[in-house]
Amino acid sequence: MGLQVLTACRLIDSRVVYLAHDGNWSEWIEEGETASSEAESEALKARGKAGEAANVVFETYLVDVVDDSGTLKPVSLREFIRANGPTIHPNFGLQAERRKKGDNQAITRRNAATARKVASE
Amino acid sequence: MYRYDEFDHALVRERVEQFRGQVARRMTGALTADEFRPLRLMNGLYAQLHAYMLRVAIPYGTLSSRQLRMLGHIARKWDRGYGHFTTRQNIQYNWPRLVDTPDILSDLASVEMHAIQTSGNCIRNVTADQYAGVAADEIVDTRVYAEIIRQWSTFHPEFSFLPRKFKIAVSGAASDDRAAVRFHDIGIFVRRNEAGDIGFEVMAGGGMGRTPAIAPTLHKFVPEPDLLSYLEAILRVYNLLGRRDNLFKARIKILVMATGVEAFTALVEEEWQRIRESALKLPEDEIARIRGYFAPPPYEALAGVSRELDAQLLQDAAFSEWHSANVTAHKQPGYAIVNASLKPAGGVPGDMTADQMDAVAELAERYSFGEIRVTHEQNLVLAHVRKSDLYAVWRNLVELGLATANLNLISDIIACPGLDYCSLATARSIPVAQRISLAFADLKRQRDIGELRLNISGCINACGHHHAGNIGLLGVDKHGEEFYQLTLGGHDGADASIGVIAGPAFGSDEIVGAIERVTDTYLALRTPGERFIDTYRRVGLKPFKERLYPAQQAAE
Repeated sequence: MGLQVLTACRLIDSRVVYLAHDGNWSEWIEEGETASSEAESEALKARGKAGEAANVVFETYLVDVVDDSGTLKPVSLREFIRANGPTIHPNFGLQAERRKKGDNQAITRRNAATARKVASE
Repeated sequence: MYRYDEFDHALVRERVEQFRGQVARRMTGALTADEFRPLRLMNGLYAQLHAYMLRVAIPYGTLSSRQLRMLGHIARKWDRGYGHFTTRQNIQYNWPRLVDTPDILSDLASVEMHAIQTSGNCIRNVTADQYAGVAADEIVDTRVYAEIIRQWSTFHPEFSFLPRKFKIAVSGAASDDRAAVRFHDIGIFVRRNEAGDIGFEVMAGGGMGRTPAIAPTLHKFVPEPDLLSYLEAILRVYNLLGRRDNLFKARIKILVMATGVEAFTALVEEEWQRIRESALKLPEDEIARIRGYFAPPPYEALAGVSRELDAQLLQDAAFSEWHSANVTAHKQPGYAIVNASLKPAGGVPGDMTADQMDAVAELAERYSFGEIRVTHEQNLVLAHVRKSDLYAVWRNLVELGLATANLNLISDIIACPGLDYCSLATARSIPVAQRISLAFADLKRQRDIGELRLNISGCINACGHHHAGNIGLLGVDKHGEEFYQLTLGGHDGADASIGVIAGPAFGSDEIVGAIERVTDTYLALRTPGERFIDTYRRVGLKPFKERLYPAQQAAE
């Protein structure tokens, strides 16, 4: 199977979040913990259910992603829009912020991936 | 305008505090997601693609300046600086936080507004002709009856858990229909008989969605005092017999189709006769009391013609073009109805910033007795502008970016939020609307094409009214790609019709070209002065199809 991340809606504001490496829920897909086997996906799901039980998130589910040069990119358009915000209103607050921040996050993510790669070598 | 009495105030305030408690219990986990869902929906709060979405009711599309300012305040304080006016004359906020919604509802209550009846399987916020009370072609002011229906339907205990949502629309024009009434669960035309009495032509079983239907007439003239008993009879028959086993077959249109119009009408008639002489009978003094709320504003006695306006129209071509497109006849001499377009070229249909809301509220206060209307086409109306003030109003609207002279033209697009916001959508609507409005941005070209309604929905639920568009677009997902099915011949006027699918869907990058082929075909075929819908009805689908799918036609 390909890569998956676990997404959810955050209870307080229903914002799109992803289960991150550190166990927190991040607004940035780049910080999402990836699963590359069914066992890993099941483990993510179980952690998601714990998040639901703790009233932090609701509607947890797995999203198919590809690793696009160190950036996690959702396969479906719907999930792409969830991860990146509406494709319209480029000047209206959130979307612009996400784009700007997203670029930085992508760089951070690439750096982290490079660091991991270097460490494993 | 209608003003809340003590009962209304208490009702809305109590509801806000109930919801505050429900939100608090959800946050602690005392209420589960499943338990909370119907409670938040009863308060207009959805969970959409990126965030919660709060849908606020604007009963029959009428707002005061004070209310519009509050909508702007909410956009600024609790949301991201803008709101979206919908085809149901509501406004939606796309980014509220759950924990803030009780405060938002409290702010709304302070200006006699709420989010009740904007979701759930109840009788939804009643919609009406946006020109009610002012249109030159009007028989009766529909707001009186829309308000009576609102009071009867709000928290109606018997109809709080219907098989499915239920939408009622009212129109009062003599020969026009500006509220798409035949596409509603119940549609009402206010009529006057030969004796001069007021009554209602009542239709039921219309709708959009996956099974579009034009509502057949059940009764041609329900007398004025019997309005509520007749509506209650329809609702009761539907509530008892409507399907609850299949979400897609639960609307009243399916029941009317399955039962047959005649048999359904007979069932309603039987129930109506049983309850007609009951507490539902509308007393004359109660109708008069409600009518009092909608008394005309203190108009000045003016001449029908304004020399000042005539001179301005001659001097300023852009003003004259806007006046031809966006200004409509008022029944009071010396006044006019102004449409503020929320459809600038490349803009998001129906979206408005908080600053624009404030500015329009002020314009309405200065020039239109502090009253604004919201249209189901997602535009705003200043309903009572002196003809001599039109030029000043236009200049203000130009400054605000709300003066695009495109009312009822191809860029006056109805579009649902689509996949940019909506969790049900299968494709995006707004970016397509933006590309079409840019392709046709030349107003001269649009005027040459003339009246043409183009409606876009991002899924089969048809919130963008694509079935009723002269040109309709339905976004579909084909193997992860956005495609758009094109329909032709839909119309939501008094002679309503449902659009017919032209052929295979077009890819996102092909759709603007396909629409241009449709308008080119129309321009080549029309007779002088013939509207798009009339040409289509005269020549049928074939010539459009030949132009849209040349390869397929050649193969046949």
